[in-house]
Amino acid sequence: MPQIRQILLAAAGLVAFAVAASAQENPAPPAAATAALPRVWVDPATGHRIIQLSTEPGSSSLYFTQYAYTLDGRLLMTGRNGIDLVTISTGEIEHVHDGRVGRVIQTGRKTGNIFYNDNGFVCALDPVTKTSRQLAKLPAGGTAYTVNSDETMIVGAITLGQEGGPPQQARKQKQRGPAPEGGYRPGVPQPGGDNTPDKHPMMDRRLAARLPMVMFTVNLHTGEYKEVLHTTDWIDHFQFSPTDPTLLMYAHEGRQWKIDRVWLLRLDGKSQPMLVHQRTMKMEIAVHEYWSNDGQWIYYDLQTPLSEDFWIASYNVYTTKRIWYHLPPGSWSVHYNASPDGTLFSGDGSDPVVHYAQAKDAKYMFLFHPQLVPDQPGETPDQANMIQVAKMIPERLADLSLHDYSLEPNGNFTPDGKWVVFHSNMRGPTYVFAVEVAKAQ
Amino acid sequence: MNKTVSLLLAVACAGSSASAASYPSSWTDPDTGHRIVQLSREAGTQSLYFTQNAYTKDGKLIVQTPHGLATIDVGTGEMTPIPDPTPSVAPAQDQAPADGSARFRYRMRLIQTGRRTGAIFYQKNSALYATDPATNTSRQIATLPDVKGAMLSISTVNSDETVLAGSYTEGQAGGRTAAGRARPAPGAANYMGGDNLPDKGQMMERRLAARLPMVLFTLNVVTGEYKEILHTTDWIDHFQFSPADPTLLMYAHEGPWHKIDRIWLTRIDGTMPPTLIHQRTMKMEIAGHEFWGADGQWIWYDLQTPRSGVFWVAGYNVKTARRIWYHLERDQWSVHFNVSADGALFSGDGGSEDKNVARAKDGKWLYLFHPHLVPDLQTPASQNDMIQTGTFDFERLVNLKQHDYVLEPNATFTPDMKWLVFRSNMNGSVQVYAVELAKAGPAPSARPPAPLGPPPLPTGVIDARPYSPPARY
Repeated sequence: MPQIRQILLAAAGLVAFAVAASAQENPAPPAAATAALPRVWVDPATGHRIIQLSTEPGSSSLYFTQYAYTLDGRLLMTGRNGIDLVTISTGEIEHVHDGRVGRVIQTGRKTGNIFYNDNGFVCALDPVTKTSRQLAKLPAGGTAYTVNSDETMIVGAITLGQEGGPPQQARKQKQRGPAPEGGYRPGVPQPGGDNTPDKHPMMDRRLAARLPMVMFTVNLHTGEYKEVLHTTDWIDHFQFSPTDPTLLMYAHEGRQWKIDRVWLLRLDGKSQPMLVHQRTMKMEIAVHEYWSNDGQWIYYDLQTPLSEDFWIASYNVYTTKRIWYHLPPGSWSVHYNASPDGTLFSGDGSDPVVHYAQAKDAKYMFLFHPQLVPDQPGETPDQANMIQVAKMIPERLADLSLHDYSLEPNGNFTPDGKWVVFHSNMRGPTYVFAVEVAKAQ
Repeated sequence: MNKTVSLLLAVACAGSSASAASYPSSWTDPDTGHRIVQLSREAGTQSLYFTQNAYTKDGKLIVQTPHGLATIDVGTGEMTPIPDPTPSVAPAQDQAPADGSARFRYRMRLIQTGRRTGAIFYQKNSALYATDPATNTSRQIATLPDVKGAMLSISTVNSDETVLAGSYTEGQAGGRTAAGRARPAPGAANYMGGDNLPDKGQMMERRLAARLPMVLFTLNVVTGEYKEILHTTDWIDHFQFSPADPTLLMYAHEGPWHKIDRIWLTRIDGTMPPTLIHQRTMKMEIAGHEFWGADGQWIWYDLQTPRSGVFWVAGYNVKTARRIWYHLERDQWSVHFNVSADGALFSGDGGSEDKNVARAKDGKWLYLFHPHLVPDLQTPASQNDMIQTGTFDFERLVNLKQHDYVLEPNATFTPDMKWLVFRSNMNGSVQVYAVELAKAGPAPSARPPAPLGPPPLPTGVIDARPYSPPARY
């Protein structure tokens, strides 16, 4: 039924869209029904315009914390054939790297170069010249996860005894591998690798194993390798500040109520890791942390407790000020994100079947409008250091009722703040989409 | 017209077997299916503030009438007024001194019933009395000292009934403001309650800012010893002795709740200095309306993180320092919560959109809450000191849509846990009601008839002999 509505909308001439020539060069979708779907439509449930950005079945955008934009605002997408860049305003797709690479790290904030792992090296791909070069060698079993703001350093990790790579990574690669058995089927969501049935037992086993891990840096100019942390905590989600070249955020991984997850580490050779959020409740969780665009704030999903009371919590890394944004029931999202100017937030919704939050009607891409709880006159001195509270007013951007949350949509704002990019299997195969922040006329 | 119908209904009810008990009226709430009985007979009669122990050992409820005090058997509706020990010093309202203090000074003001014997403790002027509810015999048990003419007021009786605690404000002889004197008093035809008056918020701001010196004192009724245990310029009130531990006292810092750390514990023997029970961490976070669990283990309070945003009934165990926070939704937030004698059930008296902080659109109900803990999912033992959380399943007991929250219902569980007692102006005057926790039969009756005639006259006696606390009444 929604497909029919979409076709009608396209036929009514409400949308006009030029599919770029380069997109036509990609393999044609196998099924006729897919071909019949428009690349642009207005979601009848929300009134927001949606573009299908990628045309290759099985293509994907990055994890919500990975910066994925070139300096000219094009979005990085990955697929079986390598790396594409798409111009969001026109839908024009440029294939900039042919062939599979190892884990894509991010685009550089300074140059827009695309950083990725390849055969034990950190490589950088210039999106203009489409040439790649090896920047530095990684230690055996090491993977690079994040590039600092001036693009001089990566942080990576090694799990000792598992130099072949953690099971998680193997699964992600499988997801971007060959087409599923039987091919892509329109209308049948392509399963993702984010919420597999064995995920939670795996996480319990991995946390209990207390495998020794090493966090390291590699200088991309000198190739210098430095081990900066040895730990038996399970660490991951390494994210350099987008503006402060020696400030790193990382996570303690595991079932979320068993760990204090969000940590900061100043990579100056003398600082110790600092816990960003101290939980005080049993079953309280603080997870899915990310940076603000200006590097001032860390945001994270806070639940006090799990699946009961929902917040986007924030911490200013320079002033230590905290703002907690309260979310109304039914709008908890697997991942949030912040707009480049920090005035709006996105959420990628949730599915009661898959997620603890068990919201009945939350399969949407959300836009959140924050509203500060005003201070009352006559604030007492002790209140200056207290947490500031706000509430989020949700707006629905895209109906994801056909989406299967075994794949997590991972929304993020485009650099101009006008679109929220996500990936979804709502049309069957996984594609990358963008939904417009402003309502369609 | 309405009156005629009501009278007819009253006659009909009085004649029916359901009203073999002498309730002025009773009916089944058609929206909840629970039976409600009217306990009081006179407009302006109020059940006590929700923290005041109001039950005798044989389960009778004590109420404050416009004239004094009375006990009511909740099971039968039988009402027994308590005699005024000094009726000659009770001037009529219109003869009250101009400073307005008479209303306060010259009435029997209930403190609470004793936890040990069930005796009814009250203050009249500067004298303290205890009444044996079995014989309705009252005795003077102590006299407050004259401290530079200040108005001393007793608020709470300790668990073994040997010590009273109260406070006074230095330099204040008491009495009401001109605005207070202008308001209708209980018993006046237009009295609908005095809890949420329009100027309350400003009054609290002014009073907090004034930082008037206050004194917390104890008075030992066995030895007669008067002891000032705290001098402060914080605005303190809501003194509540532990129901089980005779030296443990809870009290509050009063003021607009987002400006104060409200809930404190201290020991009157000086072995524990005032200790803050809930440290706020958020701007506009509030914690208040604290009360004891019946066994004296838990303190419960209304917690909002922040105010009007996220709602909890928070608990602190004074023995183990363990904490439990029960999360609830906006419509179930209540001005006052309470807990049953066995700690298994909670109650709430709801709130209105226009007068109360939660601004709930559908909150005018009397609620029964069934608590559930959020299950631990293999939480590591290292987290055992963290706050345990839970949620409330709610059941609606009384539809309060006709109730004006200028009066706060202040629900309390009866000791047998069969009833929830509350006060309400929902039928046009302030009266005391009880709602049955068990659901009534299938056929809801019509709305209630008007109250019956005048209350019975006092039958009790005043015993002038010197007081020594009895082992039991």
